[in-house]
Amino acid sequence: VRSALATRALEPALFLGLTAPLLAEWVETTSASSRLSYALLVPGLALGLAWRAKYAAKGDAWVGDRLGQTLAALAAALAGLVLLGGALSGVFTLSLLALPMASVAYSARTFGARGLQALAPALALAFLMVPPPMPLLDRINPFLVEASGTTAVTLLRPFDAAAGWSGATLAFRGWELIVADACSGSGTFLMLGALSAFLAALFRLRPPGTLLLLALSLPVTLLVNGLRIASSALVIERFGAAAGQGLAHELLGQAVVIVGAAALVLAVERTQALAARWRSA
Amino acid sequence: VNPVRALAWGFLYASALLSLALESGRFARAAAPAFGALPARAGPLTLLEELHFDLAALGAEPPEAFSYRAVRDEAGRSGKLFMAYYARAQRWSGRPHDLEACYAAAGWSEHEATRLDEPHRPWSRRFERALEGGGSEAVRVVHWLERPGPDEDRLAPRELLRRLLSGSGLRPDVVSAYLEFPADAAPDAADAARAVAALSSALEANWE
Repeated sequence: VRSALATRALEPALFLGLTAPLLAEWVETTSASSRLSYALLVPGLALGLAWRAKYAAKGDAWVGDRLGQTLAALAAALAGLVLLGGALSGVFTLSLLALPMASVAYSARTFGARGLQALAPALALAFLMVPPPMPLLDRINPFLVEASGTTAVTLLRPFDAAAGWSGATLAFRGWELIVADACSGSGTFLMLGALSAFLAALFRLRPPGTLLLLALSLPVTLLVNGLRIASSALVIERFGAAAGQGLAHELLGQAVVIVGAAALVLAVERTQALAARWRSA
Repeated sequence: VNPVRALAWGFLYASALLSLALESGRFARAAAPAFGALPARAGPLTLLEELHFDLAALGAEPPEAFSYRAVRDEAGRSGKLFMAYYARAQRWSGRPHDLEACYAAAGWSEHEATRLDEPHRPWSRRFERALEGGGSEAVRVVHWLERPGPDEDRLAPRELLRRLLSGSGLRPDVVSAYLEFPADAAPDAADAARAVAALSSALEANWE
């Protein structure tokens, strides 16, 4: 029995070793890209949720069972399939999907169906470590740029009635501000989307509340990104072009994410309060 | 031990082993073609001097190698040929980016897109943009992706099998190539297709 347990403990380590080049590229790419760096936080957040689920279970023992073994084999086969497909087609995101999928398989085998159910929010969140493929983001980006620009112009109208937006360029008080692709808002959108999923799991929101929160991350992104572009324009107008680049600009970007996160926390809190009131009515 | 379950786990580890062989470069290793060794003539095109290229325009994740050259067709019309080599294509970075995304970022808008009758199925697109002093300019861009090994008909089962057996079908590298001519002085579709076929052969001959 001890030997079987040792083998089972070694298997995840073996799998991690075999997929180490994928993990290394994942770390390298996400840490180098401002709009993907949120993915680095996801495993930690998922582990936090898993630890809390285990803590909440207290004396409720999670042990491997027949259903868990079957689900584990199914998840392992699926993980093998996406890994094979990703390797043969060269689609990295597909290969990477095998990692959270394998986590499901190992969890089901070790903790049984009951443990799997308790760990479901953490395991679902782990899938967000796989960022959406860039070609897909490239399709969404123009929409985000346009909507962020329109929001920025709306915010700037009180300062300049002739403010306008064309392509990725803001016209404000006679000069033009070309907004970089990195400021399109896709990074903020992904970060707030992942944060919404985490908050929903943390506060144990029901599926409708979770969906509402995830849907909210889009308008919140557009609002805070519009705010970022508008405030950049005002800062540049007041302090010169240098203020729109470098550290000051980065700090403004970080502040935008914090404002967005605060808005989401507020949304969760309001959702919870409304749900409680609705239940008591 | 349940054999079906054992098979599922075995499949996972076999896939992971294949992934390790490919991702670590132990099998189907990528290598750039020698852009500098391309012949002076490729079908209807004469390849001329290298042109200056602003490296900043290649973005945060530039290709591992590239070539930007002037070209001239048989009718004496001048154009440009850009070839960018990516050691890892189709990764999540989306490299190489869709050509229309690059042109859109430079202020061009697409007004027409058709596919040429050539095995690589190249796209022929017409882009236009407004000029600062008024008026507009238009270009015709022919774009295709060149992969190592036989790739003239990527969906043909026999060719697919050949690529997989030779290992070249599992190579992760790719060249993204495009020809750009002024829209009113561009080769017609047949000549453009001939140029793509000739450049494809030339690239293949200079690819390890």
